[in-house]
Amino acid sequence: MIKSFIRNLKAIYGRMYVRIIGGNRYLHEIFADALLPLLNLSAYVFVYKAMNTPQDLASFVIIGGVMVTFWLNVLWNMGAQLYWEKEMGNLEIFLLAPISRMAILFGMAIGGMINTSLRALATLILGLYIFNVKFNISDPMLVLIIFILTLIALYALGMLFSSLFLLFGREAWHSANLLQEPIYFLSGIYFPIKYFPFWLQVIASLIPLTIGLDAIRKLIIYGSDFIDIQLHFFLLILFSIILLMLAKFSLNYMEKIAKKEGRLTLRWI
Amino acid sequence: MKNLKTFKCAFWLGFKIESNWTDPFLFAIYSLIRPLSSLLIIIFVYIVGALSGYSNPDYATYMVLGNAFFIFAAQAIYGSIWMVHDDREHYQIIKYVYVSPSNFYIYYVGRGAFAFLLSSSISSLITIFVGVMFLGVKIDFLKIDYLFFILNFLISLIGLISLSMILASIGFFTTRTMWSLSEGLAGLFFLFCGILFKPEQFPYPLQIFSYMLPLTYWVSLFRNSLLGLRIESLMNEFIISLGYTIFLLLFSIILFKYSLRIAKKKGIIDAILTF
Repeated sequence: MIKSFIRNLKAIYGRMYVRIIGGNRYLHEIFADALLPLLNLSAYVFVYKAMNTPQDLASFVIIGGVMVTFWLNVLWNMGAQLYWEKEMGNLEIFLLAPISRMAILFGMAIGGMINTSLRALATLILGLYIFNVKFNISDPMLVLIIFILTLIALYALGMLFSSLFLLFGREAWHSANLLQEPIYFLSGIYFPIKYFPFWLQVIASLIPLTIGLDAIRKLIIYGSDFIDIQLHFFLLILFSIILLMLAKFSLNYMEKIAKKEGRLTLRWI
Repeated sequence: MKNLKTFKCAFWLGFKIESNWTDPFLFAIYSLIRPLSSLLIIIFVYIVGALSGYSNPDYATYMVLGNAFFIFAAQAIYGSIWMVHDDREHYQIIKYVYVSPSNFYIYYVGRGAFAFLLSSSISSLITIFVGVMFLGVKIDFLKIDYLFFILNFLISLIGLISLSMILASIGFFTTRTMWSLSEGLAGLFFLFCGILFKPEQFPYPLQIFSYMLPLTYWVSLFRNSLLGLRIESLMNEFIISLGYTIFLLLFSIILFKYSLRIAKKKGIIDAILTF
């Protein structure tokens, strides 16, 4: 039992190590990853400036733009990852190893979180500097807690996607594409979702990114306290638990189906 | 004749890969949801601005038409990079295409043509349709000088295809850098080329940069010719746009040949480095 636990911890570390080292091997890529998201979100900041809207909308865009980097990481580096691993021929090695499949996904998730956090932080600092955005944080620790909870919920969703996308096979590419812009829209990356009709707000609230983003914005821009975001807090915990359970279930299901149909390691399908 | 055959085969292959061998209904959904979501983002950004007191109905027209054109630009930028990557690293067919008697340049033009011409056109038309129906985008379809619009549009499409081939040429040498390159270029164009707001909104030195980019002229001509402006009032922009297109076309052909020669010399045409 203890031996198995240690083995899985090593697997998590191993997968995380590869992701962190691989992701930071080239300096120009780190620079590009931090700078490039700024281009898109700057366009929306300029749109708001052109429309003479209040300054807090620029802050909305900056925070939205920073959080979107995590969503992209979840979609492409978590969701589509097992499919890419299959294409590269690594998947069968993962499955043969005496470790839990979840350990592989945990390692990928932690590595992705660390890499993306570094880049997101750089984007945030650059955004703050360029657009001279002011924040009003009353409880930094609470911001950190909500941020971590959001990441856990998001990456749990990514873990769920990874087995589902593997099942879809070649559709993984389209599936990730399909979830990119619609989620930008539904989570209100570039505007507050209070402008949505009520039914759309309900649908949008089923996405962890929407809840996390809303809570982080309230804490950072409006200086809200725990009472204001307690619903967000509990929803994020609920999301994390349910999505992790679903991820575990779908991983087992995917493996069973894929083995049965004999296409677990078949490329280009 | 041989080039036409190459184009046709590559176009068909492009269709098969883009549509992912999926059923047409599912493919239609894939093709529509992304541009519609982008449009919805713009709609809500506009609504937020309007509710904050901004009132200028022409601005919605500006944003929607800019976005409708940007769909082609985005496809040109992302598509070319993916084509080389897919052929080289994913499906690993690049060596077979290279040794075939087909023209490599024409092959890649044809390979990207499906997504570029059909998929982007449909998305762009839907964007304009939604804008006209629900956002009060004012296009007087009787006022448009269609000959001028088509001429303009063709010139900008040739320019975008050339840009796409320049990126494909760079794709022969790059692996992971190409994601940053395409992402960066798309972001740069989206920000600086008057897609969502006028270049005049920028502080002075950035305005100059904006007017140095060909896409600024292509999108402006697309927008203005749709709004019924005549060739006489757009002559300067038209000449600059034509000049950029001719330059990019020639440059893309030269760069493509040169890149291919160097890649062959280095032995990396079919090198698998990322997958």
